[in-house]
Amino acid sequence: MNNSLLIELRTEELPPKSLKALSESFASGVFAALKEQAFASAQSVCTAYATPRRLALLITDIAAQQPDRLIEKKGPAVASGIDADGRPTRALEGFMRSAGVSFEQMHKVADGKAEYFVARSEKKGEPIDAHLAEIVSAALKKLPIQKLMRWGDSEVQFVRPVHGLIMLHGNRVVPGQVLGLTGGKTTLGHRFMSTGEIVIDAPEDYAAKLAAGKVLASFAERRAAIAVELDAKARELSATMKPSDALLDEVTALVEWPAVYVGEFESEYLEVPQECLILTMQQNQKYFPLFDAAGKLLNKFLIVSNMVVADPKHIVEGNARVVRPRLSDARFFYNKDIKDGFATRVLKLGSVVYHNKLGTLADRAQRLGIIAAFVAGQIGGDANLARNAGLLCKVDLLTDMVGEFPELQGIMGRYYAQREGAKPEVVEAMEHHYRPRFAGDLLPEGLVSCSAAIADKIDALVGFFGIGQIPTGDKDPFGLRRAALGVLRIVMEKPLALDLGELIDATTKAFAHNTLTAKGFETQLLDFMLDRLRGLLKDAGYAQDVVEAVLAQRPARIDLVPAKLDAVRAFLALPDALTLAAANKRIGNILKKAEGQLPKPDPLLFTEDAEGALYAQVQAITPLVAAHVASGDYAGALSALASVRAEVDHFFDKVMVNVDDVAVRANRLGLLKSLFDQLNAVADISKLGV
Amino acid sequence: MPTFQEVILRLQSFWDKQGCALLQPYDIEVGAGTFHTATFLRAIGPEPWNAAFVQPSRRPKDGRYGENPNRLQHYYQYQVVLKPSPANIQELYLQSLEALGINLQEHDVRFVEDDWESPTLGAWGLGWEVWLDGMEVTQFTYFHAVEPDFPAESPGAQCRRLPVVLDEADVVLLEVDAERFERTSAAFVRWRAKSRSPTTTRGKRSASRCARPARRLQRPPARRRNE
Repeated sequence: MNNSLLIELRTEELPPKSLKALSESFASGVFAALKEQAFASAQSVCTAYATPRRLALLITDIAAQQPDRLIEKKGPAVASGIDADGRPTRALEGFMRSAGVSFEQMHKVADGKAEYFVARSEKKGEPIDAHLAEIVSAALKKLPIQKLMRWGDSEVQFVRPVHGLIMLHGNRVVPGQVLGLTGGKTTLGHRFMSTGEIVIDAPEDYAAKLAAGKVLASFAERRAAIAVELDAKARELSATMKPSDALLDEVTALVEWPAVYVGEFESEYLEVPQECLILTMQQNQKYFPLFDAAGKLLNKFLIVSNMVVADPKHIVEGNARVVRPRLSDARFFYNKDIKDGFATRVLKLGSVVYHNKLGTLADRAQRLGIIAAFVAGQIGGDANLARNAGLLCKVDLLTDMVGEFPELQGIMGRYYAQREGAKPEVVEAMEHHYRPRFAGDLLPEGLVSCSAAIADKIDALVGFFGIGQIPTGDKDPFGLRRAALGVLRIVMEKPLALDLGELIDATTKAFAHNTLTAKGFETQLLDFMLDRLRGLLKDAGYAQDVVEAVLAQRPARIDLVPAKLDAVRAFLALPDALTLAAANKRIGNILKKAEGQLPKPDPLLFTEDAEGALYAQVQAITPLVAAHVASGDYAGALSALASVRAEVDHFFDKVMVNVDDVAVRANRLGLLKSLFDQLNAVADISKLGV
Repeated sequence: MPTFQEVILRLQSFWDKQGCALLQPYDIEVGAGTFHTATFLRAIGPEPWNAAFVQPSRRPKDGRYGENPNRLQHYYQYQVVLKPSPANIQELYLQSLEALGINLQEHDVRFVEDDWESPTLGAWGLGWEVWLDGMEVTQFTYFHAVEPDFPAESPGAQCRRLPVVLDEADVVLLEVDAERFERTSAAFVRWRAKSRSPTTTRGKRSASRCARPARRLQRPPARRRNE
């Protein structure tokens, strides 16, 4: 008979950051195996439960006995399975042995290409008792656990010690051992708010019985309950909250029965930049900071506790006692940093090595200044401010606050530079030059910020490529892929009129003589960046052939790439596009074989009408294409090309290029070359339609 | 509320009843009880081993920043080593908190993942920091290795016995009236300073301060921990 199945593994406190993943993996592993072994039906539904002290799942409609099944195993091809006399070959005999069948049980099956032997055998359905423990053990073995542990004097390994196992099918305990535990039907409730064992008589009762034992078993429900209560408490205090999903997940994984309390600290700490206070509250204490309507931090925070108590005096006071010294540390760092000065610390950058071949942070700061000024000059920003921003942007790494909280790099630079009266553009660049820090992150805003951000990344790229430290495989210790993507995104999305080749040149010149010794790294770097661009554009939804057509020309002005892509995309929609692409490919192949300098086509040497017609057409479109390209109207240029299609077809129909007369042949090649130049003025259209 | 000596007395008596040998501190300056040979050497090998002791510990880098009543630079760790780790070790530990007079129904006690390692000892283990109302009061570790070549259980042994180590350092701090404890400890710190050449201490400290920024750039600084 089909019944629900309950499995619960009771453990010591599981790692909160991976609880959700452990639970999902466990549930899907067991459920998949039950389906595969035909215990679960199409109607079966799997519900996962996860608390700090247990992983559990409830699956409906599970059979006590597998149905009898016909097992098919694919064997060797008929051709190699029997010899000329129709007797099984050694290959087939080996297969029959492994499948445990006789020759009479072999069937021939054709799959359209060849005929195969198939072993068919009836497999008697077995009871769930024979399989469940193994299924559960296998699923546990596959959990994404970084470090396994052992405990006591047992050989068993798991992420934390285990203490109890429920394997309940309907009202019957399924026998079996998992991680050294024997399945039963009892569990424990909340560590402190529940006493005695909880007996589960029916799988469906699990959540309700646990709730009575002060355990909210469902991760999702617990998370929702916490979110609701946080929200309610914030409202009571007329405050707002910006809970991060990661923090909500983490506190959900730290409690079985949540309660939210309000903690408070002395408002004098609010003089410290609020990012510091927020970070220490969230990261160290898992508190939820509260804000006023304007987004300013309040001196109150919310604590998600695992205990419901009548008077939360101890809990609230205890937590306040912990957070106070942490805030006091933050204030100490802030005041000390201010006392020690910010801009003056630039002198101390020389004592920190950036990379033994690329000099100290002082060397790097000098370069960032030079490069940022160059970039600003190219894109119309203030070169002097950009130079300042480049020089200062790494200084906050030397401050005590960033030493203690590395996550605050950039943010502290912004506060300290502002305090010392730096120009707003420079202040902004202190923080924004790190952008974009990850896929989808914001871009730097002002031109000075953009210049510093590009300088920061291209300095690393040129530096490490220049000393031969090129990322390989999944090894990218200096984050160069991210740096390349950063430069590309800034230039393309802003967009900025910056030539990549010139940028690499200017950056190379900023390095001390004899620093960059790798041969030909500039080309490697450009290839590397174009490769990243390829990925970026494909992710943005451009078709592969369109991307290839544009990138085949190794564009240095990345800002113009999107317009070219759009133009090529529009061109592809034209009826003549693919024919022209094919013609372009053909011309390319013909020209590849041609030797020496090709002459300009001379109408006097034409012998066929088709030549004259094509020549006239090419003459007509050449100025048009040039004008369109110059004005950035790539679509216009490409559609002008479409007008030569008839003449191109006609030419190839009527004219033989490789004739014996050398002058005529050279003239025809010259004509094709002048056409080819036009066809490829925007993109290599021979890549299209591939 | 127990006094400082009552706290130690109660812990001694509790762990005595659990069969622990009550040892004396190791007489060398250490940052944590784990450096006591009763922990890091006795953790090796298959022989059962249950011990508990108070270890005066010093962390000169602690508490040099803001006003922090929880970082005293010199304090006492109560350390318990049990090998093999008992199946009910979490319950035993919670009972020890009750023995100190902590009412578990009024406080929020939680086991928060915190895997422990000591590069100095080459030792590591998995476990938790135990929070009492948000404050870390105990490091609870299933010891796994001392030196990579020195597994906590001996390689040839039939039985694998994994020890568990409890540092109940800050239990003392919290449950005892913080101010009262601070006075005791402050007196002690002053006394130590006299008996030790002040220049050495200061020299050491500033040297390590200078080394900090260089480390920072390679990787985010490890959590400050000297045990």
